[in-house]
Amino acid sequence: MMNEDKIRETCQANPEKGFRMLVEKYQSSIYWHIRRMVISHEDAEDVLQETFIRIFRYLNEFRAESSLSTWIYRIATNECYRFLDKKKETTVSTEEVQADLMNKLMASEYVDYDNEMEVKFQQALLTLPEKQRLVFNLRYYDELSYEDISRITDTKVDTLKSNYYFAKEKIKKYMINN
Amino acid sequence: MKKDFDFSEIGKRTPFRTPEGFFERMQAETLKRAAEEKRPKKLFRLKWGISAALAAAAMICGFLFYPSPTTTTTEQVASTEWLAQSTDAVDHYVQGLSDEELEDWIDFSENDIFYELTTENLNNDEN
Repeated sequence: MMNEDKIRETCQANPEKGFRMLVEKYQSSIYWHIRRMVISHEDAEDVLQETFIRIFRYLNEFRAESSLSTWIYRIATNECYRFLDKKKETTVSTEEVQADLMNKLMASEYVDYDNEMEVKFQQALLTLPEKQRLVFNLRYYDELSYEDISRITDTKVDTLKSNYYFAKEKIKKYMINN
Repeated sequence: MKKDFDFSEIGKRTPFRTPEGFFERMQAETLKRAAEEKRPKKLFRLKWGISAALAAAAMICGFLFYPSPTTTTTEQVASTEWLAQSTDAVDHYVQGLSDEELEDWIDFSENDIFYELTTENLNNDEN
């Protein structure tokens, strides 16, 4: 398994080769991070490609002040926000964006509806405010530390902890009541 | 009614699926797009550079040919003659450059706002 230092060294010596290694290592985890935020597979595919192209453009500007994975997650998260913000421009409210994401969850070729509990869990997540949903995803699915999430989202660790706590409480309530 | 929900019942499972072979295809497409990314950027910079050089030339023309309220002096005639000569020299110089040299030259002249399109500068560049 390639480690981050090796990828970083290769990126400096040979950007094309380094980028290939980077895509191989992070493609899957970044795709799932994006997919959980934008829900539709087709949208996730577009956002993923934009994310990697942006990474490629700015690869030589990456400074080792944060870890490579944190930097990549940050770019991916920004791309998710850019995508969701674009939706907000064409809709009236945040609720409409949530409703649109919910529709995509409930009518997709690439969602397995056989497992009702898994679908319901994603529905519960879609009732959360965007930021809470992001924090929950990064902590629960990606198992990132609060410090890393703080670097990705520019949010204080204490705020993140309370976001995560409230997100879990809301999900529990939804799962019990629905 | 259930009183609590245990997250371990679901763990990290999600109902999301991807088409078969998605990651292999995606990786190939991403690398292809990244390879293409370099070429248009260069062309774009070149176009920008040419636009900037043309804009600078237009400004010089505008300045020199601006109708004067007074009669044309010998000095002004000399200026326009100089422009004709210097524009020819610039054209000649630009025509003799390879794409890469042209790009470098435009980059340089774009970044230095005090850089003037004069035959003197061109001669210095050639040396």
